[in-house]
Amino acid sequence: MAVSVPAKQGNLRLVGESVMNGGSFGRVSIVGEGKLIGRTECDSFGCTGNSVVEGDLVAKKVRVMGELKVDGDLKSREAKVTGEIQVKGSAQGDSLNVPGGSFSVEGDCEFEEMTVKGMIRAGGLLSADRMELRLFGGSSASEIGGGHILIKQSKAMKLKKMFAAHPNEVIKAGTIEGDVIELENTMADVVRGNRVSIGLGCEIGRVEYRGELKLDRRAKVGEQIRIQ
Amino acid sequence: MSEKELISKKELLEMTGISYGQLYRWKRKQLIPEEWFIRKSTFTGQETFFPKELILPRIDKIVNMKDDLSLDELADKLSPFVFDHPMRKDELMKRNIVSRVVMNRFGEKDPDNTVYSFEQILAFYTVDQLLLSGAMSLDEGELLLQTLKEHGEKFEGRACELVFIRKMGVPVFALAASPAEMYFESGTKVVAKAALTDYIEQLKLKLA
Repeated sequence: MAVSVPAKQGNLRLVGESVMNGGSFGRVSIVGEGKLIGRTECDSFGCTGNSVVEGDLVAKKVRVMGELKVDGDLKSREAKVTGEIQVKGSAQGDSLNVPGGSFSVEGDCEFEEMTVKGMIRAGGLLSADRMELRLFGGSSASEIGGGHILIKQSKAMKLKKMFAAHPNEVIKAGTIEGDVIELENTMADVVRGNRVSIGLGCEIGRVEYRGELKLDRRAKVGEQIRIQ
Repeated sequence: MSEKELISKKELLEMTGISYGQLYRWKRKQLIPEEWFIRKSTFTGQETFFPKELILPRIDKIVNMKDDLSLDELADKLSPFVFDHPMRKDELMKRNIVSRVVMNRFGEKDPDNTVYSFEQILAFYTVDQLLLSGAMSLDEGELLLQTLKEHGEKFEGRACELVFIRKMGVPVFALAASPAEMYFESGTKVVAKAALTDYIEQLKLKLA
């Protein structure tokens, strides 16, 4: 994805509680609590602690440990999040990696590769060529689309369910469309795909498949239709 | 949008032989504009539809070009730098982008569902604007349209200026790379001088 960032710019370092205007930077690093007012473009964006960008954030690399709020759109070639990101607009980029935490976008969330452990929310379309979601629960997307889609519940969630009552599903979605789809603990109205596997804990209204369909006997599926 | 012929995503994949993965990838790369994804609820739940006469040529283009170019290069080619926004004739009139007078005069032979390219729309729009300014007659519009059709594409990607002069009542149209300084012999009246880039900007906003 083409993220154009101006070359050779000064670096910005915010330590403690600070407020700064946005603009173009080389490296931005925030330690503590930082706020950037206005659109911010940079080569890399690092945040340990809490930060807010009041505007769009465009960065080649984004690393967050802690919390980040973006009032506009987020564009990043490579984003790695431990903690929480909230985006008011939409999020786009090449790769999104959330080793633990939550990522919520009010608009569309589109990456080439997506690996999320924890929670993900997209108000619009959640799309990636390869998507691997291992979730705790509370996730949602109005639409999911892509090449290879894998959704499972995380190990921590499995453990938690042994002790406390929990709803079965970890993610709710309107439609899920992809070439290869593997689902577990997913609630969706419609699933369309080439090779579809519906695992335990799924509640699907309607499955349309072209190649093959694997159904776990503990999954609830309303209709299944093979398309020629 | 009402009578536009729509094609469902399922039908599209079947007809073109592409996969969900490809379609979503192209959408992410903005090879297919967001506005073409029309969501409708059907008895089987939400379905996505596309305007048939726009999407099929676009898919064709992508499939044919993707072997030679990377997707990012393709994206640059298709949008948004080279503005490509074809539109149907009846919609152009309905949204009042091109007036009925111009359409009836110059596009009479084309059926209502003809899809005009951006260049064609721009030519119509330019004629329309000049007509509205009152400086040009409808007959002269024909001449202008001819000029734009013949030479317009030579300025692709460059700023271009339209010059309309008249001497002894004889109209002459010229296209010049701007900024251009021009001086005319006495007795020549410069009726209108307009930057086509301005028209492109205006038109983009109206079409979007």
